[in-house]
Amino acid sequence: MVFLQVLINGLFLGGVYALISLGLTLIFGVIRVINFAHGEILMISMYASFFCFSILGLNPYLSLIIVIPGMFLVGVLIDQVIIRPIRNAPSYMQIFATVGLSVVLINLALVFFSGDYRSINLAFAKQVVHMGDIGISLSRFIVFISAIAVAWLVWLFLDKTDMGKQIRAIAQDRDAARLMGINPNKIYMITFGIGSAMVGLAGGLIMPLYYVFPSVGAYFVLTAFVVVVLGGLGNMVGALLGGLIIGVIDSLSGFYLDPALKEMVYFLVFLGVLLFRPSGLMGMIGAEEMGLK
Amino acid sequence: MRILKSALLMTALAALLVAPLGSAMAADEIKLGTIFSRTGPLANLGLDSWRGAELARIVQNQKGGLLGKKIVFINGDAPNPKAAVSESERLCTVEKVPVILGSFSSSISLAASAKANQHKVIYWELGGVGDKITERGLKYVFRTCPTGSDLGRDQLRFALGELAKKIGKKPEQMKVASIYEDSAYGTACAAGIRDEAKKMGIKLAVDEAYNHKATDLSSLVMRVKAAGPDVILESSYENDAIMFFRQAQEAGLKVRQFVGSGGGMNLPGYQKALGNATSGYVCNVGYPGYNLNPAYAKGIKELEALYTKTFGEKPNSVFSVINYMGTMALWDVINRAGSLDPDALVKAALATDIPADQTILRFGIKFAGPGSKNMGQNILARYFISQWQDGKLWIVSPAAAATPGRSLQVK
Repeated sequence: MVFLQVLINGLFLGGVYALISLGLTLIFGVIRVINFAHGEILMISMYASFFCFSILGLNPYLSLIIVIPGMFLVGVLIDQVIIRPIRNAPSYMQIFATVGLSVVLINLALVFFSGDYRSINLAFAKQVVHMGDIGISLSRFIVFISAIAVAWLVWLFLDKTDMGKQIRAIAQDRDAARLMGINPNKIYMITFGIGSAMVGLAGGLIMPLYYVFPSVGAYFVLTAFVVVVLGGLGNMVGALLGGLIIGVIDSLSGFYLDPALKEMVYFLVFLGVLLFRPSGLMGMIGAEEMGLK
Repeated sequence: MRILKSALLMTALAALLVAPLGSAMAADEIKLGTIFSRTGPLANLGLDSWRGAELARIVQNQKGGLLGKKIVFINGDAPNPKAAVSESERLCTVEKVPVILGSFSSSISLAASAKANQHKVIYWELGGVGDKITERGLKYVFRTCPTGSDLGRDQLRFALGELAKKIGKKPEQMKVASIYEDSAYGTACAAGIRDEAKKMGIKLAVDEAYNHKATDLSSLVMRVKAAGPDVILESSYENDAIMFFRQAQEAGLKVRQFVGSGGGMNLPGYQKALGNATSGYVCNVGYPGYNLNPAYAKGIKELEALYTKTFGEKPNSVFSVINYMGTMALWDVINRAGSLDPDALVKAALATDIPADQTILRFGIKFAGPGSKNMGQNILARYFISQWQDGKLWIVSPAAAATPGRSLQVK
């Protein structure tokens, strides 16, 4: 029974990791920009959710109606202002730009919101449904289901819709897509927007569980990078799977080995996967060149 | 223009007249140095700590000073350890003070006291808790307040003492879990708990470290839950303390009490994030303040009044009390030494044995002697226990010290 509870805890934690990683892997897969400001986009969306609650009195789940479109716009803005001018520059230039953006955003948050830890004390977030000896936290369950739903919906969007097909076309071969009449700039902009909106969803959903402060992104983003690489760059299902695997390893090793060792264990697994499958679990060979699947 | 000139002349004349008077007065003064962060990031609590020493100086001067002379402070400012070294050097060589009082921050104390010790100047630590300060075998360094590992020691003593009694269990029946964040602060507290447990012959049910930057503590919660402790001794910063508490609630981990060691668990943000769930459920080990029972801490109300009168505002923090108490002990040492000779002062300090009922915080003062691991440390120093009740921290232990109308609650 304890094993089952630890496993469920791990899956739920994995849901958090997956939800945060989905946007990162989409942006990486299509735009081929390693977005080091990803954690700060999460931070902004958590603050947005927090202030919707504390100023407007909006329930964090309801405030998603504002936060998700808001973060879409933030993503579009970042793409157009920061990424667009260096679209064709070497990738290390783009890395410097996003690292710089991350530093700027953290310090702006420090100026405006101070370094205090802010959290939402929501009765719903503490509700636990008991099934025998197993306790299931409702708010964590919502995160878990959302991660699966978002991964599936985005996959559906990419596979079935015209816009999705354009995005995949750009990801697979920019030049050929351009010859087919696809406007790459528009697609990049929309993709960055969608990726950021997905982080907005993540931020809104985890706000009742965690707390926000200017450098909160750094706590999550390292794990998000591990998840993305483990799952295969640019792969939605891979990110979902990667997140759940890391979550379960984290939980099991923390309980059965030692809480202080859990990070070591999942990094060992990560190294092992990279040794045998350098392109990640779901990534095809040479995925970093191929992009989205 | 002419008026200005004559004014300048007058001032110069006045200065000439006053100057010899000043040096004549110096013979009736005892000059002592202080080193606190008066500016910089630690200035808020640094200055409030200094105010405790300043109040002790005022009180003693009203009683006629020391050795028939008035006490004067030469106040050094140390915003960081580097400045602490140069201020310490200045006080020792230029001002030639026999004693330096300090210093709130452990890193400032470590730097300044090493310098003072080189110059055979007594370093009297009033508030810095880093264990290392008195573990370097420095002959001229003394500390009146308790240490970092004493936090852990007092967590366990409280859990097996008053808390066990309140719950209705014998100390040996109590199951104790110790969890701590794995940086210097948490490990020092945990080491204190471990040492004390060994001395008492108690086995800890859980003794686990974790990283305070972790984004999930559910596996630690499950481990603690599996051990089924009566009490959790916790050393955390703010964010991890909030997360552990929330995840413990989610997992249905129930104990009779959490006992923290200050850190994040006595901050308003902790209480705000968790709301009334902490009420009567979370205790903290730490310095007491002005909310002590005046019948126990005799003179605390008068001290508060003097603070308000002297500095024109209510006390900013609890730190002035412990600094006041330690400085009063220094006066006792200087009086017994009968001179300001460094070796006479050391001898008098080592002979100190102030009984508990003669200090404002009701713990005695007696220093560990040469040859012991923590030479110069006040071995009778201890902390007080406060508890979150209705959104505020109240002193609850020792019971006699409890804020009037408050007492220890358990769940």
